[in-house]
Amino acid sequence: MTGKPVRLVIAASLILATAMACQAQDVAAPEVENLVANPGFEQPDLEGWSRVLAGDDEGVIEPSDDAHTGSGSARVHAPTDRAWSFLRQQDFDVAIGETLVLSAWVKSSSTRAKLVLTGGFLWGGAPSGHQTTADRHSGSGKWELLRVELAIEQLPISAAIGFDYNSPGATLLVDDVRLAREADVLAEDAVECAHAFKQLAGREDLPGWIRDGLQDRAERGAELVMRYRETAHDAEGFAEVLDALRDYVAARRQLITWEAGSAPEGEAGPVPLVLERIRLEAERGDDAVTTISLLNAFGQHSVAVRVVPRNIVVPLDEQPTPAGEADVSEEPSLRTQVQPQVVLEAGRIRVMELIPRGGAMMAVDPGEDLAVWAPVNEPRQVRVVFPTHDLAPGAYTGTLLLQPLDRTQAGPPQEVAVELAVR
Amino acid sequence: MPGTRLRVLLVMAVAVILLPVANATLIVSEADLWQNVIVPDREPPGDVLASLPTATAPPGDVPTSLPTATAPPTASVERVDLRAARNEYECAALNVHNTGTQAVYLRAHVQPVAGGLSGRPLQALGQIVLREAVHLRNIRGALVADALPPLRPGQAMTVPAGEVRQLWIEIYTGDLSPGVYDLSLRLTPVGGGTVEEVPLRLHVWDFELPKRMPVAVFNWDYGIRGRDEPMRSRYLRAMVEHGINVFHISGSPKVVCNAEGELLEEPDFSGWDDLIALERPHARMFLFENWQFRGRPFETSQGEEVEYLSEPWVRAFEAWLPKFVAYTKSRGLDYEDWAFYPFDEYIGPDFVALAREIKRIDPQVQIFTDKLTDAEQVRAAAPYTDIWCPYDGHFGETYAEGLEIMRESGKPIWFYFCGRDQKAFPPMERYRLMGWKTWARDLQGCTYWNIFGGGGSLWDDFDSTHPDPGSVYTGRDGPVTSRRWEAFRQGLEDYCYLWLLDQRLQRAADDRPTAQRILDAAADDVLEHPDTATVEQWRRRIASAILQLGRERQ
Repeated sequence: MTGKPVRLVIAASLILATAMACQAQDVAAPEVENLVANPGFEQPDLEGWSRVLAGDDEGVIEPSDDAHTGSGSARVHAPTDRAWSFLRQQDFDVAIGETLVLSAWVKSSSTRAKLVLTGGFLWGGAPSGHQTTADRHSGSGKWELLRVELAIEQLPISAAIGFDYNSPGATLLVDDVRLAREADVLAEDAVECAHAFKQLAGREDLPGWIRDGLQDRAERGAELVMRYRETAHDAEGFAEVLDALRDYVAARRQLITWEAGSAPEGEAGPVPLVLERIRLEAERGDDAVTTISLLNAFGQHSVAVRVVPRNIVVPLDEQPTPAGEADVSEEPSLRTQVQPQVVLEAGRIRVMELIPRGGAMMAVDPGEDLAVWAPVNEPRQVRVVFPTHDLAPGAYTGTLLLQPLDRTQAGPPQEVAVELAVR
Repeated sequence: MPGTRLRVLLVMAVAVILLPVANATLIVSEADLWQNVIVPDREPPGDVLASLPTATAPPGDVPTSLPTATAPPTASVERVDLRAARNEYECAALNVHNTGTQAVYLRAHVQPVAGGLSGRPLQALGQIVLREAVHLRNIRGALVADALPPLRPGQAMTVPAGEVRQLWIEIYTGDLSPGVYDLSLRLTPVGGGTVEEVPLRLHVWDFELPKRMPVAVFNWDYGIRGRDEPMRSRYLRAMVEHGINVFHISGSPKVVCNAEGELLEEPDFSGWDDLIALERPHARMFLFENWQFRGRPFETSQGEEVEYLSEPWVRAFEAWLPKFVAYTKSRGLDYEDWAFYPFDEYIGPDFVALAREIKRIDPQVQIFTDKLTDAEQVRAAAPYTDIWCPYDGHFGETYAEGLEIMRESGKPIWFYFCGRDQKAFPPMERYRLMGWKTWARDLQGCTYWNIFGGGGSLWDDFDSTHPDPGSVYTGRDGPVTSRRWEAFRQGLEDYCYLWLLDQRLQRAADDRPTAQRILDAAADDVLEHPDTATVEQWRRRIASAILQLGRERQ
């Protein structure tokens, strides 16, 4: 059979499988409060901004018309290695416990160009012990979006862009600065994600169950944003909303994974797009085998995915107390010092990629890096073999890490729980 | 609906089985070894980049690549030539483009062509390692083909339809006889199809790179310490094969004394025994990085601090230092075999005060510092410093006076660079040029921070507080090298070429103006034009001059 008929069969099958309608409720982007005044430097004379010029006030901070957007920006120049040259705003109306996200578009040929967010420090005031986070420009000479986050432990807050010492002759342009509460940014991101999932759910080249899952994701995003809008920032449960938003946004480019022969068939409710748990049973002496499918449906290009098994251990709650030692607490959180007993070392768990050969699947070694390639919309299969020869009958646990090497295409690593029962 | 899902799954399973039946077209082209961006292409979407945990690169301005061949060459390379001295690692990179519509799975291996070894056995070729360049996203948002895991025997390399993968060939010449070796790289599709053959020609020059690196090459050890065998030895072997000859021992056993500074316990340094024994055969020297000196006092048995550099502290130190020296002697280390590295990137008053005490108690103990700052501080530290190691970026006008004081001291000067976002560092400019800079600046050593370090998975810049600065990745059977670490090794080999030519010029009976001009001009030109073509051109010129001088001597 040639490739073309095969593709036609697939296309026809996929079209047949597009029964699910995409009805995710549209939700408008929430308004993100920018705590910075004159963020785009469109008002004259850098209004709202202060200049920090250390040394002998040698630095230069001035308006510029070389803008990222609009017509204005600010230019910062540090002429000597001892000159501190920062543009800053500070003392924002925020509270301890909040997380802030500061971002700015910066253009520079120096790697010393810096975006800094500080808690507990006031430029021109009395410094105390303070917390700080910074992001630097790559020195590419182009506009780059710098971004930092800070969970506030101390007040007041200072936001600054510029150079510290050791930056002689360095120059930067800054534009479109935004200091916002993380919650607002997450909600904004969640709206974008929901829209993206909804669009993907309409793709007719994807299998129906994946489209169902995407549709579910889109609806869940809309719900989360609604909850965010309805829950006051200081209300009980808001932290839970924030966590849910974080998880939701993090999974926007998730690699779709499932265990061959089981998921996602027959389950009631939303279709899971990621594999969370593998349950395996084996007679002692046999291999326990699972086959995992990977699908890079959201990416724009192929991604290397590492499949990394971890040690198989005796669950802590079934682990006998070592002789001569004090009883461990019944409270699991108090037993973190107890190391789980390893019964099957990771190095003995075999990982193989299944590749087609002459109409059948052939298992090949994925190599030293344990990576397989996941091209866009082409499922890949990996077999994981757990030898049980040395295991006594009982229940064991472990994890399997599915680690895409490009989060922009396939999302963060997936930790799959492994439950192994040896009879 | 479950039925529909089942049908789709079945169709997908059939598709997986049937998709890759031959019918793919492979084109193999030679690639620039030090370009980690294999195929410059589209940028990743900005919203996605911004969503990365700590990604700092912007949408639209990211130096990136996709493993997608948008404009592959029209024909495969006719032959790949590798040129090397004996005892040298030489590499070539080949891009494998799949212009077909189906993924191909390739098995790659190198074999001699008939008569290509001039009767010598294949084993004479030393080590040939095939690697695949694996793409991963770095903290600056770029997709770089940095990791170079070896291809195991029988392992298949996947080239999806319309994409390109890079195959890396590494040959160690060992003590191979000079001459030309003709080989063939065979790419065999799994499941049948046309075998792609690429002729390789290895030219082995009639000179050998020094068995012991003529300069100090240090690195911070975050890979060996804490590992069990056999991994520990594998990590060490990788270090040695990449030129490391100065090893790092850090931490220091607790020192307990009373309030008057009398030692209450015998210091126990035996925790270092294994590491020193393992590394000593490969070590030019050791650096003992003693964190306890960084303002942390000796402690009393009640856990109370003895004030740093106070009288009791000095008394305790006077008792402790000879015991430390005795320990190093018991491990077979003489004074020239080790140095204290008491503070990191600091030579202020505390450094000077401590260094003064060390020299007062035992003037033969060597002291290392990795800080170049203003002239005043360097001048104060100079009488006590035995090895200087300033930062790469400080070789310039700003610190010229301090650097001059270092040079006037007559003590060895090494240099280093550092940074956490090293997966974003260019292999040529940052790593390969280390050897050239060492030569051009007339230094006695080089290093960078660091090879093995990182948090979480070394394959993921985004899974811990900071990106992973290290140059290797965790492999199943040991460290997996990177394009950056290979560039560093090749830079050290470049240094050896320059050193060999210099040695031969010094031994020549009369002036050799052409060879001298090559030696004088090479490093400056390479540093001004840091590209692969320029470096290779100079390397061949230097090799030619070495060969010429060698022939004349015979």
